[in-house]
Amino acid sequence: MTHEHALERLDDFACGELPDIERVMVQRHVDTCGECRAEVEAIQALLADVATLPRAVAPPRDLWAGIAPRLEPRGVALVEPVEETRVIPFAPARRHWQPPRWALQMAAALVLVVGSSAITAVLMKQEAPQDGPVALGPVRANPGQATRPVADGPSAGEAAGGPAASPGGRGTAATATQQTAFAAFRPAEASYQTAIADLQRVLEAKQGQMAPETVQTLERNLRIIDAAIAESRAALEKDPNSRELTQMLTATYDAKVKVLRQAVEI
Amino acid sequence: MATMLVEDEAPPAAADTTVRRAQQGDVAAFEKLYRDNVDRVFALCLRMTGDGTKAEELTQDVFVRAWEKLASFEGKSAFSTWLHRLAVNVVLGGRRADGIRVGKVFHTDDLEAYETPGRPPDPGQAMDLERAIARLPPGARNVFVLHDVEGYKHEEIAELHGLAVGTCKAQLHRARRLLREALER
Repeated sequence: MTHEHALERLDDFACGELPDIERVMVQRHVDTCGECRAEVEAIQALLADVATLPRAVAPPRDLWAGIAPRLEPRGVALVEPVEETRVIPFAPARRHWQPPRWALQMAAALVLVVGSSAITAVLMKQEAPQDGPVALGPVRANPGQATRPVADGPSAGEAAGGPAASPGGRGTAATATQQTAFAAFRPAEASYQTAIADLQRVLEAKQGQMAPETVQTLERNLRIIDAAIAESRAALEKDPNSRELTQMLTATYDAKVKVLRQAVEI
Repeated sequence: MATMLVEDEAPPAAADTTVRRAQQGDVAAFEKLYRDNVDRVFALCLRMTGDGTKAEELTQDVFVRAWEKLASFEGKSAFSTWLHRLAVNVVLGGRRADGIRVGKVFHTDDLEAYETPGRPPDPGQAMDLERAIARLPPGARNVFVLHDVEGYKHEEIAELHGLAVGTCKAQLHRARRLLREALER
C-alpha cells in the first residue's frame, strides 16, 4: 500500500472501521511510516478525549413547562400558533444591518392579527351552544364525555406543581379542573417574565448604541406584542381551561423573548 | 466512542410500560419519559448546534414531535434509541429550515450550558474540547458529533443528511483536523 492510499484510510483505521484486509495492509504501512503512525496516534488521542465527554448534559432550566402546553390530546388537530406568530429575525450584530422598518412592523402586526383573530375565533366558539362548560377539548362520541377539558390530564396539574387529576375524576370536578390549564402555565409564565426582565435590562444598557429609529421601531413592536399578551391573558381569565389560549399566550411570550433576544444581538 | 450512560435509564419492563401508557395518551407517563431522557437529548442538541438557546428550543421541539409520533414507535428498538434518532432528525430539519441564518451564527463561548454533574477528571480539557466542537463549521460539526460522540456509522449519517458516504468521511476528516489544530495536537 502506498503512503497516499494509507493516508486516505487513517481516519477509518484509527477507529477500527476498516475491513480486515485493508486494516492489515494499513497496519503494515503504519508500522514502517513515522508520519502515518503519528497521525494515527493523534486521532486516537482525540478520540480518547471525546470518550470522556458526558453523553448527558442537563439543560439550564426545566424545559417541561414549555412542552406540556404544546402536547395535543390524541387525535385532535389544532392550529400551530407558534409558527404563525414567529417574527422575522433581526440581523446578527456583525453584519451591521438594520432590519427594514416594514419587516418589523409586519412581524409585530402579524403577532397582533394572528393573536386577535385566534382569540376571536376561540371566543366565538365558546359562545356557540354547548353541552358542557368547556367545548374546546377533544370531541367525543359519547355525549357524557364530550366536555372533558383538554387540560385536565395529570400532566397539566403536575406541571403546575399541583395535584394530578384522578383517573376517575374526568369531567366531574369542573371547578377544580378549570384552573388547570392556566394554572399549569403559571410556572412557564414566570420563567418567561424573568427572561424578559433580564433581556430588557441588557437592552436598556445598550440602547445608546442603537440607532434611534431602531429603538423606536422596537418599542412600537414590543407594545403591540404586549397588547397581544394582555389580550390573551384577559381571554384566559375568562376561560382558564382553554388550551388554545394557553398555547397562544405561550407563542406570544415566545415572540417577545425572540424579539428581545434579537434586539440584544444587534 | 463515548460510553453510553445507563444509570438513569429505567429497567426495560418499566420503560415499556411507561411508553405504552404515553402512547395511550397519558401525559404523566410522557413526562416521565421526558425526565428520563431530556439530558441526553439536550446534550445532542447542544453539541449539534453549539448554541445553548437554540438547543433548548430544539429539545422542546423534539419532545413535542415525540409525543406526536409516539404511536409509530413499535418497540423494535429501545425508546431512547428511537428518541435519539428523532432528535437528530429534528435538529437537522431545524438547520435546514433556518438555512443561511444558522450557517452565519458563530457559536457561544458561554460554556455554562455544558456544566453538569459528573464531569470528567479534567474539566478544563473537556471545556476546551466542547468549545472547539462548538466552533466547528456546522457540516463538519454535525458529522463529528454523530460519528465520534454518538457512535453513528457513516452510512447512517449519510442517509440522515442526504449525502454521499465519501462526503461524510471528508467532513469527519476536516472536523478532526480542525479540532486537533484548535487543541494544538
